[in-house]
Amino acid sequence: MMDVPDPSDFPTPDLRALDASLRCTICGELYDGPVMLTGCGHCFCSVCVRQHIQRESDCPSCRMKTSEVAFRPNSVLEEVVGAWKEARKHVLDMARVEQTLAARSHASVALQTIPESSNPPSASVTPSSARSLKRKRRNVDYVSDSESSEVVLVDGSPTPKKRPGKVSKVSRANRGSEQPSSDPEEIPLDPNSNEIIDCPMCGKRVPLRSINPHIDSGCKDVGRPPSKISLSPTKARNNNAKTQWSSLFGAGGGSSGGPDSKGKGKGKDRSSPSEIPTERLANASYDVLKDKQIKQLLAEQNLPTTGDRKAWIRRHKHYLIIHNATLDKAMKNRSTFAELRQELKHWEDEKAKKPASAGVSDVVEYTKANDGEFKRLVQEARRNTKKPPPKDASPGISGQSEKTPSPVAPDIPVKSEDMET
Amino acid sequence: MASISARRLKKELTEINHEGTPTGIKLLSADDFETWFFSIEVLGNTLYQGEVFKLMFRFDGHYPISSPAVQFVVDQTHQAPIHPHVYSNGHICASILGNDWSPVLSVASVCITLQSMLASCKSKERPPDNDRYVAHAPDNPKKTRFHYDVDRV
Repeated sequence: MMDVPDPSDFPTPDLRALDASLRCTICGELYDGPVMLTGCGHCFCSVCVRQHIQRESDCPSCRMKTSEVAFRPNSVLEEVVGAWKEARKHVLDMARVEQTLAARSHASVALQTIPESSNPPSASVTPSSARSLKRKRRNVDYVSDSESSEVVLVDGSPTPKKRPGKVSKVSRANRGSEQPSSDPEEIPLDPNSNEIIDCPMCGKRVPLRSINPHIDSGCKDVGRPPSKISLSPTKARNNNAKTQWSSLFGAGGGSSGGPDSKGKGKGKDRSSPSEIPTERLANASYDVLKDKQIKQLLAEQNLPTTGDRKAWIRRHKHYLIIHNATLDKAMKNRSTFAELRQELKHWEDEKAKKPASAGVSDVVEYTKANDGEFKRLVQEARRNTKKPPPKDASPGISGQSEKTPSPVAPDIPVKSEDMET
Repeated sequence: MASISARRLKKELTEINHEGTPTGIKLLSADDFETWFFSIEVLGNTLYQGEVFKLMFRFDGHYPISSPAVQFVVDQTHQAPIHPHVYSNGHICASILGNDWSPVLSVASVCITLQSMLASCKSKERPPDNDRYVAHAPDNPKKTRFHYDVDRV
């Protein structure tokens, strides 16, 4: 089976909840061009809710009446999802490392301190944490003396029993000045400290300040200064800003992408802004249009006119959805016309595949597999011809949906009245 | 890039495997993204105590925008529950499977709805027009246009 990213990728419920909350409840993917429904405030991918609105004019979540004019692009959420998409893999890796640690070590403190130490150093230079730092130092010194790291790294749980009054005071002070923590006894390591500790993954001796880069790199590099790591986010932000500006100013800003790059590199080098849709398309009332006019509509969007009238309408309808949906995205995330046409083709191919797989592909195999069922039905039919039909007319025949060649034409809609009295 | 319906179903399957199904509901098979089978029983003190039913879900390429076709399986080992909304051929008259379907519903939520539909049943009887419907029922219950009344059962 294919691999589909899912909230269940994350080992802890809080991260699963975070990932799930950034997903569209219709398609289950991370929001793609999220729109908010004014009125109830629910959010969906633009494409998803536009497809839904063709069938029912209500909100999928709360059934409040709505329509296309009530859709508002949710650009803040789009940005959040964009950032999460980038961060997701990284967080996933960290969460997995943390989980491995938890599995390996009996001491829970060792792993709790690792996310904590990624705080900027300035945050921990406060009077109250200086005290906790002192305590930490003492413990770490003890580690190097005794060499039995497994036991001594535990400094959260056993200590409160020895000095209950003192510890609770410290932890209260900690809570006031630092980020809230789920564990009141948790004491952060100072990331700038020169202590050498055992890596919880590989057991190598690593300077405390470079333990994070060390683990992130898969326990390869030892002692790389953390400054190199902390530099990269700003660098990335600068690059991002650059692309945003260049997309604002069109192709002028020295972007390397020539005309060949269209259809690829979404959101990066855009050769010319005229390839991105900027105007919404209006819905057409196909029923009053002549064949020629529908073909004209398709031609206006450079869409193929193969197939029959039904196919044209279906194609044009879906094109309207994806065209208008891409306009709900930020400029840099929009698809080009070429990409939209590609997407439409993909969608049509996918739809064309379906009926083929629904039928019986191998008749011999199918007959063999359902031999018992056929025989039973024949038997039943013979029995029924002998005696008068029972009141409950042969439930076996119409109930065996897939396997039974039904004697009834399947397309007759049956209207049943007042069945629920 | 698989189709949206397959990706959505894959996610639901992952969730079922990960979080488990609600009590009384078990996944029997989900070999592809077209037909899934569940076993369903109503726990507690109800009219269907000790009875186990088999549910069949069929999905088309438009899922979750369009509803799945859901029915009870009727064969040598399974019967449809005797219920005022369930026909003897296994077809179910429930508004969420038709007009009231919403794409935010899922396979699990449909199972729970049907379970509670059975649990709240006060008298075991077939729908009044059962024979007439079953004689002409289409293979796929989605091709039936049910007429939903206010639930009084």
